[in-house]
Amino acid sequence: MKFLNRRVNNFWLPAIFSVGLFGFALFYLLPFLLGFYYSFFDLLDGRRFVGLANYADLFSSELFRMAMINTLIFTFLSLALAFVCSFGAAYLLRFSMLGRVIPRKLLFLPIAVPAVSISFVWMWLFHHRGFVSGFFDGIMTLNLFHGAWLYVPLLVLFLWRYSGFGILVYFAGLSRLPEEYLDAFRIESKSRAKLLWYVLLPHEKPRTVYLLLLNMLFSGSIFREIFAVWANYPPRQLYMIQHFVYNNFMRLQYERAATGGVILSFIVLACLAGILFWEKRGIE
Amino acid sequence: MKIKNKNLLIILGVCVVLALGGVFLFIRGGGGRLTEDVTNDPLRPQAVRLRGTYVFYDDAELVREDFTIRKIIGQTAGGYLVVLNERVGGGIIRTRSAQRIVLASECLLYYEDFFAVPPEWEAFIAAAVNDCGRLYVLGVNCPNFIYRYIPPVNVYMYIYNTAGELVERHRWERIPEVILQAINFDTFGVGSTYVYNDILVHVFSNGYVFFTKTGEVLHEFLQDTQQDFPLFTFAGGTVGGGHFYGLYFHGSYMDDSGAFVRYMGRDYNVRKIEIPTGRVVWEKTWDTETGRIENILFCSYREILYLFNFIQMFVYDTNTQEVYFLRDKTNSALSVFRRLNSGWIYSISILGDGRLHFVFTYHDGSRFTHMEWLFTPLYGEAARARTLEIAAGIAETPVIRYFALFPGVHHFGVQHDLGVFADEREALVQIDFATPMACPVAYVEYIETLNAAIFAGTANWDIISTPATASTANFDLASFIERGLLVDLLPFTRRSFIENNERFYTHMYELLLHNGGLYHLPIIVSVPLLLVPNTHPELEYLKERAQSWTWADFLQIVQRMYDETGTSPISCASAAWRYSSDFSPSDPISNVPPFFWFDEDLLFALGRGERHEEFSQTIGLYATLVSPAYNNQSSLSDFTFSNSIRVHNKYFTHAILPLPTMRGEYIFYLGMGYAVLTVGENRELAAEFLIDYHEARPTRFANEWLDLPRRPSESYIRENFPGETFADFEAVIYRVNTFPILPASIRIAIYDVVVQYVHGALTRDVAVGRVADIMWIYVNE
Repeated sequence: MKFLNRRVNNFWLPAIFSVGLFGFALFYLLPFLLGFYYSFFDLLDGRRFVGLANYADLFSSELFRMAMINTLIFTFLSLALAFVCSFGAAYLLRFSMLGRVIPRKLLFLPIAVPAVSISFVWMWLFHHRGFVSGFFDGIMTLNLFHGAWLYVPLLVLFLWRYSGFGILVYFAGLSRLPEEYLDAFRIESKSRAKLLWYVLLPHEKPRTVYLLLLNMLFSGSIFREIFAVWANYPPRQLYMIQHFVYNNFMRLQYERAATGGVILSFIVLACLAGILFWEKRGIE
Repeated sequence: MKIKNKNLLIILGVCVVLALGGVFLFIRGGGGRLTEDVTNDPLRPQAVRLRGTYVFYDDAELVREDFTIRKIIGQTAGGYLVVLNERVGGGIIRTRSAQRIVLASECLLYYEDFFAVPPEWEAFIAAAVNDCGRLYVLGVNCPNFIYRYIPPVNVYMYIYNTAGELVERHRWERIPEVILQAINFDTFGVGSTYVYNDILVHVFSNGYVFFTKTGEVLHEFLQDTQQDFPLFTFAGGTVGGGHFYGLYFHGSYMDDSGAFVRYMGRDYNVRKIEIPTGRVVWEKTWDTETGRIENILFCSYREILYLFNFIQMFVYDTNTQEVYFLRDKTNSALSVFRRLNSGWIYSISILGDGRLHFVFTYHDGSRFTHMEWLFTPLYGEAARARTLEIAAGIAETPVIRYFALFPGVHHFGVQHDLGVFADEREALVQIDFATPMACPVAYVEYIETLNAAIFAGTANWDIISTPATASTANFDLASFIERGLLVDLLPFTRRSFIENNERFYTHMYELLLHNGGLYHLPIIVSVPLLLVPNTHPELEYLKERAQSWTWADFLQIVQRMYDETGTSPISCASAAWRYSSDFSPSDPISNVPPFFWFDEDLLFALGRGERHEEFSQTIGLYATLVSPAYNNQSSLSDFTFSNSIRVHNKYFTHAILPLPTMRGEYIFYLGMGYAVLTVGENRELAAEFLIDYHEARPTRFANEWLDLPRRPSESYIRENFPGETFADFEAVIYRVNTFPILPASIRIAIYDVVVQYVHGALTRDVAVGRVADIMWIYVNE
């Protein structure tokens, strides 16, 4: 058996892992590097090197700045709300009978539903002629597809779709919290707020970091839902960097698309670095 | 299980409340119910406004979705009475053989599957409502109807009360001769039947007949239609107070093949006829040759007749017997109406409730749209003073007769520019399309008709379409010019662009000039070009060689570069100018985007020269060297736009070199164009318009749209958002669409805003802002 284990460890595991690594390099890393390379060139002008001109061009574009701000706003809003909802629901599950009654696997289901299907349902619910607006018919004109209301259905969608996973993670974490800790704390204080602040949140910090990373990626993928509802040109508030990149790519403006993609990647990397730094500092 | 935790109870309670709320929401109804006091849903032809709410006739058991509105025949206390037609394949309404015609009103008050006739039979229906709201439905079916009904003919009369109950049903034992001899489908159809005191008035193309519900003819006024000329045609009528208003015009009948029916009117006659005696109470005639009187529709309200054709609305005051034109441009109805020129208006109804509801059923070639406008009442001196401008009469309206090759969107563009042309001159000018939208004419048929009419001396068109050079096998432009049939347009040009030697392709005009005259203005002129990147190392060499290179030189150079690098940095493309004046600027691509394509027509045209063989080699080389995307017509739109944007900004850094064909032997591809016939009665006006169309339009085009990114687009769109109807939005989209080429994604986004606005979910300001946002994003990406 030892021989078999050694062989698995020395050969098969690296072999299997290398396949994934190769795929990652081929389909993610290489396009990113190519995009990074293209962002320094003017492709229509015989691939002329233009330095940072493409970046300057994009940052001078009001549209791109707007897309960047929208992306950041939605990311931060969704992360914050996802954290509150996931942790809050997990707390309720952990410290109530609900956790024993509700089949927790159901919480994972929304992630498995295709984005397009969800978008159709969401349109039916929140469209200006939809179910929710219909309720206010005659009372007020409620158009959830307009103005500041635009974020509401989208955030609800995000929470419904992705917070279930967070609930499971937090629930697992809270379930592993030894009862002795809780009993010891209860001797000191009866305050639930203090329990939350001094015991539960620190205990869940590793999972919070993990979920922040994951939800940040999920928030980027919300572009699919926006695209399914509004196609290329959503309302101004929902115009994300992904729209900018996608539309420019479709219009053969590859260098702009590549530059936008690179900037988006750097934003994500910066956020990841910030989160990891926070985690590391907490550990130290 | 014993529940201990009170939190669980709270959560369960909340769930119950939410569930009950959901049930309440469902009962309260979102779904298809809409906000009150909104206009019709233009995207759903089955939608009919009923007292401010919607009723969609989409119940599969009653009216299937393949039905559409054929005619709104009246209004009762329960709502509108609507005749629906069955839609057949391709979205075309089967006007001849509507085997299942249903009548629908509120809650589908009336519904009948009238005719389960054999497929080879044709069926028609006419319906009318009397003053008491009683509905009369006349149905006819027979094996053949186009020229003459052939027995056996079945005629049924159904009469319904206001509750939708069938109260009488008659099968005519004696079929009136007029029905048996109806000459074409226009003579017997929905909308041309009126009822008064159980007496039906039916308008045929050659007169009118009064008959009872059992088919007994009381009075008839029918002209002999067997003669070729003249033809008396009644276009419509209405009944009120025991009188019937009839309109007929006298004119010549061009063809009766069904595809080319055409009336060239020379006078109008409006008369008021007493029912049932048929006595003419009064009549008014205008002696004019105004044309454009086919498909005229009219209806009356409070002794005012409203007459419509595709161009304008006449208002005829029966008290003063004066005719007015609706001229106030601020009236949205007129502006809307002018934009509808590309389609057919199937029916018009006036529904009076203190204001006038004009209900149009409109077909633009691709779909039916049902629209409704509210008019300020036009009767009364104050209203008239505000909204009407007294015109001297129809006779003073000049009409440009245009025999067009390809009706369709092209009509729309020409019509729009004619409106601008007329507005600039503060004149009322009509354009008369000899080829209606619904009658697309084949290329060969067009040329044959044109040749025959011109050389026979029967053509009276002012403007004609000239075919593209690739299709001139049967069309000899030079022969037309030599016979003096075409007007020299050069004196009408406001710019002496021919003499400007600084222009890039001045020799292009040499191709157009014939004996020093300009007789032909093509819409599109394509020139084969070479696009070479400015960074190409051999650019200077190529520029030098291009001054004098031959085909052999060119082929040798391109082949050498291809062999050396495996690819060619040269793009061989065709630059096309949409309007002739656009090839006058010194930099030909600074104003108009080049269109890159290399289609079969171009190959054919270019291959006609003596150097066919050499050029064929180039074509082969082209196919090898140039990206297949350049030949992909499906991607042409985005590609073209992308390039047009680049042309106007810093990204376009290519040098443009002429092909060898441009030296000595000019090779151009002339697209379809225009010419003015000397036999046209308004030829000078037509020539002036044509020059304006060619010279001023590109300038307007450029000023209005190419500066869009640099101007406050919202204010621009707001200025072009004059009305509150779907048609206005359509016009905006059309205008936006002229900004070089918009991809479908933009149209979808704008349509979504339109629908929300029309449904009352967005205010006008918000809708304008949304469209402005979309356009702003698009032009800034």
